[in-house]
Amino acid sequence: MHANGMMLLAAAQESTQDVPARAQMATTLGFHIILACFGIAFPSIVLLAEFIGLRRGNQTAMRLARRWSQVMGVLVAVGAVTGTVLSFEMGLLWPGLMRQYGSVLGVPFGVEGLFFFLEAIFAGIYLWGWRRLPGWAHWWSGMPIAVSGIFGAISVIAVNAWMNTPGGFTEKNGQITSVDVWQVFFPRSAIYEMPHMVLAAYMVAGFGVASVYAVGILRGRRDRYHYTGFALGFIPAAILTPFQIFVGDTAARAIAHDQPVKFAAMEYVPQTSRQVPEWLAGVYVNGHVYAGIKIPYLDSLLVGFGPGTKVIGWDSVSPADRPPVVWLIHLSFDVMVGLGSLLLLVGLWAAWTGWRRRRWPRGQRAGRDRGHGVRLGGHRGGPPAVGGVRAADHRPGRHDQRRRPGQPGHRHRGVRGDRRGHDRDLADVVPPLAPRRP
Amino acid sequence: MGDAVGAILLAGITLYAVLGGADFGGGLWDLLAGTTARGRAPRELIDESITPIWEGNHVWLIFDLVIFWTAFPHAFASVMTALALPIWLAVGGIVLRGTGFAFRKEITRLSLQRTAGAAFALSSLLTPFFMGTVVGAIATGAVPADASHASLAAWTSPTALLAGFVFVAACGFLAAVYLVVEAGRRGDRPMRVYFTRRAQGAAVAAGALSLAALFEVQNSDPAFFNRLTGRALPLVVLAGVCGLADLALLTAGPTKGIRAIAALGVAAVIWGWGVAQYPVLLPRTAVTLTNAGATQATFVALVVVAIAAVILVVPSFALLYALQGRQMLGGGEQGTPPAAGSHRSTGLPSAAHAGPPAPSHRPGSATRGVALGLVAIAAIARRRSPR
Repeated sequence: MHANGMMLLAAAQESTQDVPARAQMATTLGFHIILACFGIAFPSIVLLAEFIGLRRGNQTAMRLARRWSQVMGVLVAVGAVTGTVLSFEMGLLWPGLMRQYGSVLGVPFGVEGLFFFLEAIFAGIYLWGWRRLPGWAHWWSGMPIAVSGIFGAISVIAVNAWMNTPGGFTEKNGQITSVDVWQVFFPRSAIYEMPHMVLAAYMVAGFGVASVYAVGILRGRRDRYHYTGFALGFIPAAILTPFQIFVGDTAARAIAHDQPVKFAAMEYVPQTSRQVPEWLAGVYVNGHVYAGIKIPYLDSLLVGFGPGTKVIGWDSVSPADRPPVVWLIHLSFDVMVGLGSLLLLVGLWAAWTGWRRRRWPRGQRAGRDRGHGVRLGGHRGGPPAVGGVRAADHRPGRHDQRRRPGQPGHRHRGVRGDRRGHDRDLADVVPPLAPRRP
Repeated sequence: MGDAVGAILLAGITLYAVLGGADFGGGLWDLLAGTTARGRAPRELIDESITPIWEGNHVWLIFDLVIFWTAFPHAFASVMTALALPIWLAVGGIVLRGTGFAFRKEITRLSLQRTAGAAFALSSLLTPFFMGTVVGAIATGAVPADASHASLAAWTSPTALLAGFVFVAACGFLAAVYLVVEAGRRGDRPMRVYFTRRAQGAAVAAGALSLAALFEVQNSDPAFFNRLTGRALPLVVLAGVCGLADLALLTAGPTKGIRAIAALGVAAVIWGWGVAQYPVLLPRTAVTLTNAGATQATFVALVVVAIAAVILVVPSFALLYALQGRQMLGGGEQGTPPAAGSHRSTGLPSAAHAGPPAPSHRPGSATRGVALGLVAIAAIARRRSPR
């Protein structure tokens, strides 16, 4: 396995302009990954909104779904374009790697192409079918986008996992002689990389959507539209965050085992030792960590659940093979973990206030209008009314098709006659992503 | 097995040329449509015809790239190295085109809209040109087997440049022919005449450029010319016949079948190229379909992927084009809620327009399968007769 890794490294180093090529690849990938996150997860959120809109006759959710699908159209298109650029860059920037291993790492890309096809085709149907496709047929036409987004992500991550823990092929005299497709698609690191990416995509898209409406709410637009938009993004993302932290923790431990030098750079472990401290932030220069917070024994504890756990440092390999800029790797890792932890806290805060007070947490300015918070559910044990209703205004079964207490299976169908009631809620809506009105 | 994958790659390239090429051609006619006022009608028709389908068509490019590098990595690396410059320029065109097209819909200010439109239109001209030079360079054997640096001479030979122009003309021809049919279906007579004239012009230009390229090849690369006029002769003749037939049909008036004939003509050119250089992948080198660096297992995996693509993707494309052809998609601005302009609107968004109102409100059973839903879409599409 390590021998393979070395050869991979050699293939990648054939180019003499490594740093510009890496910088360009990183720029494209850094741009693409954000769009890709939305491409993977945003369709599910739009479909959730449309589902609520159709199932409960919730007009606000329906308007959000429609508005979001416009945004989705742009994001998917730009994501497709940056994805194309990346495909070309694989050959234009790394011809040495592709010449040698193109036939190995190309297989998962081929599978990804399949899902990308489905995504693009059904995006065309879903985005442009709002007008003339009937409600549920339209909803189902969006389903393949959400599903193929997830499987497409898994296929691309298979390539990344293969590059981290290469295997599944034999090489003789610099020629690939056989390929085990299954092992190429599911290398050892796939088991933690794949869920990590998919969950990350849902967090990015969910919290990203929620943040747009959070800004609106903090600016005083406390209406049903904004709270619904916030909830539809926030609730799925907040539910997935603890799982993501579990997966990420597992992944870090696996990296300590599979790619110890990379882990050493992530956690500032210069020498292989026991009782290794954990550094929060800090910049490593010439053997010193400046402006970092040191927590004794924590790194050993995290890696092996005991302070005596030995952690391999980057002194285990020759200087030429050590990561060149450890502080960048460490800080990137810390930012990721820090943001994930903060988002976990935000989710717990929302869950706590929701459970104790039956409403969303309030911003500072919210103290003025007590009682205008949004209730999470009409009664304990009932399904949460996603995109809740103002406590004062809420009349179950009239404005929306919520299940009424005591009648669990009951759905109220007579909403059409009472639709005028929503206008009041929508009157002050200024959609954040709408084109400016003439 | 290498032959099978080679055929799959050539089929992918054909589909990209026939479908994606038409989208490029649409951009070309957008570029040539004149001032904002004068070009409004053709631009609108182009826009409505391309918008829902361009992304699906674009994926053929990615599919082709992936097949190329997976099945023939040595040839791929050489092409990407030797022809880096035109490929970078084509990539730049793709970026400008995609973003320009996507944002043009969302931008409301006219000046910005014009900029985005210009980016879309101009790159629709540049991208096929540079892709054509790449194909021309490969066909003339300008790519060495183990290229280590980019070469300017490889793609600026007269043949390669002519191939670039042929690509542009062919894209324009395909797009104009498709748009003639599209305008006819909408009963838009002025637009039908407008694009008929352009289709004729593009057909003449593409034919003249192809003949020029053929003569140039005869002088510069007699071996390739002999194969083109040898075993590939039926395909070359077929391409010429298709072009002439379309020209005659366009002049006479009937639009039935002209799209298929135009697509067949372009496909014949591409398969003629493939047949002429088979089984060599990079002419004037020893790189063939079987020794370009992949193993048997990779070939098998790719054939499996291709079969899965036929099973999954072809019906999806059929659905997309059927819906587009029956004008079920679009028909006004994309998904814009009716309340965007006025908040007084009361209906559910989907009810406010032409869609059949009844089923859109009835809460359906959430347990319905995906298949069932798609069948429903197809059934509705079938029930609605084309206008």
